[in-house]
Amino acid sequence: MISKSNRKKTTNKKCFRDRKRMSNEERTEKAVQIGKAIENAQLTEYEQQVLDGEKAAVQSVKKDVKSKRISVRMTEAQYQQISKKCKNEQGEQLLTITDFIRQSALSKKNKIIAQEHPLDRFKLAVASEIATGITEIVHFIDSELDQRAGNYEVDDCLAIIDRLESLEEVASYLLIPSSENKKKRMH
Amino acid sequence: MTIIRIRQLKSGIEDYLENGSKKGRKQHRDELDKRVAIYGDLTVFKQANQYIKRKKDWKNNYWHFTLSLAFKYHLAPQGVLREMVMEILEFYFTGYDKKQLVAYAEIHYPKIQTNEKGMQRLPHVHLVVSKLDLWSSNQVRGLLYKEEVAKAFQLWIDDNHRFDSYSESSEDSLSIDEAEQIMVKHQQFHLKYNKHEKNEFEPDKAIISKSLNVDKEGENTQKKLNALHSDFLLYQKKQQKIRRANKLYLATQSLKMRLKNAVACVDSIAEIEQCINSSDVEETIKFAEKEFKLNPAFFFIVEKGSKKLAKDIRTGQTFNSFGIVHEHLNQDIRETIKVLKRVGAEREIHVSELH
Repeated sequence: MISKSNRKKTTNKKCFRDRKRMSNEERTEKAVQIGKAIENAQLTEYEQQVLDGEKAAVQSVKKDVKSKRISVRMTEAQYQQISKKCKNEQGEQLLTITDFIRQSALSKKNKIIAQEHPLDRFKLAVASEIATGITEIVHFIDSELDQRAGNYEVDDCLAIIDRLESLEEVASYLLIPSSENKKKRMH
Repeated sequence: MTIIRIRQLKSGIEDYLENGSKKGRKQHRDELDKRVAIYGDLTVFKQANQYIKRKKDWKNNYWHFTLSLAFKYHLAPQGVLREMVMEILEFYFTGYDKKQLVAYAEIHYPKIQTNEKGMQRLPHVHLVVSKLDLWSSNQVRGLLYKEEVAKAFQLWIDDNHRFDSYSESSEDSLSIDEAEQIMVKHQQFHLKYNKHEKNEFEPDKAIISKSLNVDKEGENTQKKLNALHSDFLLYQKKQQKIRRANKLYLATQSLKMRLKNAVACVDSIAEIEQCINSSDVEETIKFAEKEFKLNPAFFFIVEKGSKKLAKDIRTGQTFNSFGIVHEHLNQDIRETIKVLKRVGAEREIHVSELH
């Protein structure tokens, strides 16, 4: 029995045994072939590097494209004030209004004064959605009444309306101002 | 023959709708018109307006659409007017979800028949749309006004509800296909320059924090919760008061009134018949002229069998005394019976005076 390791040794020995001695010409030819193969591989690698470099360059350019636009409306006075800030004492323009606005908006020194009250608006949106939903139910009942003329259960409809009214009442609590505004109004 | 008037305004509509206050007018809204709320909630609209006033500084805060029909369609069902309101919202606010807009609409059926200039008042709809986009907090961008488009829409809406149109008779009249093309082209133009990234602001997607941990048993939390609870009770009472005052401005209330009217009609059928038989249509018209400024020149009396009826020369429809009060003067069943009883009482006084 030949074990796994023995088999390996036997194969290697066989490989050495079968090997012929190469002539000088054959050796030169093979060396040239190997040289060319190495050169080719190096060339492909270089081309790949160049290509990668180009791609990266394109990508980095793409990243910097100013694709977002912000347009703001100003009053005449506000515009004059800003354009004055872009000039020095002699009235020479130091930077464009666009650059000034970009610089000042991106500056780390900015202090944000909140103008919106997101919770109030959120509550308003929910209350409005409920009101629209209830209106749709009312429209549905109403159009059913139109189609079926006198053949409908008024008491059932009135019971549905009572329930819708209680929903409306609960939804109206959403219009209670949030704590920030409450304090102002309570005083 | 629908006339749609569009205006952009800053304030004042709430008061106009609630009280009817206008330059040179003394009567209250409820004396002038029968009010039927058909879309939305006026309280929510008011709140949106207040938000704009507090947080924004916009030139105009809302749109005001007035929609009125020619007299011959004064008996058009409420459902038709409701559909027209929805069509206006869909067309003029193309690209918006209904939930993004705060809108309120009500129909005014005139009780007082002529205005200060002596002209016939017509049933009309007021539709108000706030400029606050509830999802993004930006200004709502309605379709740009263009006369050609407004005309096309008017023609389209008339055709959709089988009404005669003014433009049919004019020289530069459009066909309905042309009108539709103009409308679609304008809508596409609008959508091209007004892309809404609305979904990111939709309330159910705008969750502020998912990991809000509250220690419910903590002493401080309990104190805060108790304070909040008492605050809530205070404002709940206040809100209930506001709601009671604004109850009429809801579609549910209009439907409730309609159903109650139907119940009253069934319950009082004997009384109604008695009123019809005992009242005289000519006397009713005279009474309506005196109390509700009804123009008697529009009616002439025809006799059908033993009964006298009033024929409206504008529509060709005939009415008995009950129809005149209920359909022309827009009074509900109970009020109609009351008015006809007053007509009867006045006749009796007149007869006794003659004797």
